[in-house]
Amino acid sequence: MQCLNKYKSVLFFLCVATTMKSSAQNLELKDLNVPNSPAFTILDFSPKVIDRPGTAKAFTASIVNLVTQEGGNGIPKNFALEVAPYWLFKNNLTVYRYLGIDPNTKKQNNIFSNSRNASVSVGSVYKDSTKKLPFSANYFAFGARVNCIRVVRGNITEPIVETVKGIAGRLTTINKAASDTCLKKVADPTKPEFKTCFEKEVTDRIKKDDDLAKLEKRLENLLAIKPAFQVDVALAGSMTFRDNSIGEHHHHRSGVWTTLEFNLPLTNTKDIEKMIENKNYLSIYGKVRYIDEDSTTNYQTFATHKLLDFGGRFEFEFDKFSVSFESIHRVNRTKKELNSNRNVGILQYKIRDDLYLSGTFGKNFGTVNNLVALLGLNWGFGKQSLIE
Amino acid sequence: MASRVYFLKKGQAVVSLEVTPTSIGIVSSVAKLKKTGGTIVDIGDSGNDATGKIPLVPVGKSSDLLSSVLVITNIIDLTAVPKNQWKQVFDTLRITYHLEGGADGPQDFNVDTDDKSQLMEGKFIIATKAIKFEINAMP
Repeated sequence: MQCLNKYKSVLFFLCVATTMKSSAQNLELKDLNVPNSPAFTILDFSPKVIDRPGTAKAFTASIVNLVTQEGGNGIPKNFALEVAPYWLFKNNLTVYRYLGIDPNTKKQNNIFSNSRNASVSVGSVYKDSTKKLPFSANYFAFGARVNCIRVVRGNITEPIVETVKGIAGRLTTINKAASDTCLKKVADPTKPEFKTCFEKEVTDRIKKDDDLAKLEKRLENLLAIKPAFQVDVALAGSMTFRDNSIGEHHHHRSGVWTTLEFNLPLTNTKDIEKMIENKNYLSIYGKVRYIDEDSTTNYQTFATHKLLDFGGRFEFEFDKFSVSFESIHRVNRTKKELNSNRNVGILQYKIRDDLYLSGTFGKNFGTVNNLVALLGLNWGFGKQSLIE
Repeated sequence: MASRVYFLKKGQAVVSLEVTPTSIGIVSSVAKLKKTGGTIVDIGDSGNDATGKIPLVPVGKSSDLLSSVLVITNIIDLTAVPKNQWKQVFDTLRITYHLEGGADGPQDFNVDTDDKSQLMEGKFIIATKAIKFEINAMP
């Protein structure tokens, strides 16, 4: 176990080392992908633990905990908090409104339904002074991300509605049988014994219900079909607080990302059964990112860098294996002579949901030391692979 | 689970029930009546309506319902919901049990914390609600 942990640590640092930046020109920030948690990405770190409060009460408790962490003085250190504000409060959603599908017309009726999952992230990283940066500072960041638009393929909405109805029908059959059984077994249904009986009956019946299991699997597969088109937007900003003092603050880095994504299944899209089985896609991404950074080595003088990256990726995905080519043009709005390009090919193999083997080869930004040749494992960091 | 009481009018007034769950899961609702002799009567269910709604249905006449217990059971399937939201969906589950035709007129009961529980690592939620029918002894 110790050997495995050591091995994991080595791999972790191998992956992290490839993403650490030495200057704004060599800004990596995991190529152009809209980050899952923009606040952590703008700080260039993957927190080990992210507090994700799911209710308004839990969120309030998290905030109180943070505010009192430093005794009310200074910014909290080394924390990561992410929350989807919509879900903190009660809502009137049903399963169909949640999926953005009208059960009567069986068509998508809301291409913005996924925006409910918009998330806000806040975090900080405290760094002690080093030879390179001879001052201690707390880097505090906030960010937000939203999947603005999601257009599903037109011919999957009807099967989704039919499958959802099928599951509801099976649940009602199980519900009736379990309720009947327990009303006969338990003399007084107002007693807790009735609920206990119902829990057991439902559990036993669900486990034996193959039809329900098949319908659930079908629904999962239908929902896993990539959307025809979607747009993601994220933004983040960060401040530096020297010696964690609120008065000694300066802008650190801020950014905005957007990705447009088109997906084409590599199968007969008119045949829904083939669409469900299909794991192969051609995806085209258009990406834009703007980063504004004030870098310093002494906290006295700051150099401003404004970078605009735009480009695209062309990707073939064959089940667990994907091959893609990405081309990004970087406009350095501060020093135009530093404009450059990044052109890389990326191979990736998904070992499992949180573990990817990947290789990246090509030319990075800049004119010197710009050869990219990376091979590594991405192991469950921020639940994000190199390719999304 | 907490039981509730709905007071009946004297006579032949018809008591009706409507069940309205609010959840992003796939919901099933079933309502049954257990009479004093032990007879179980089907009142209504949501069928294949994934919202789990039981539209307003008659439960019975007041004179027939005294000391009976109306039992509503719900099962919610969270297959369509990301796993990291299951706990949240459980915490925010709302079910309104609307009764009318009784001594106090229309009355809403709601699912209580001890009425519901999670099954199979949170993928399913069940809720049970028992409502007794009584005559109000107070004038």
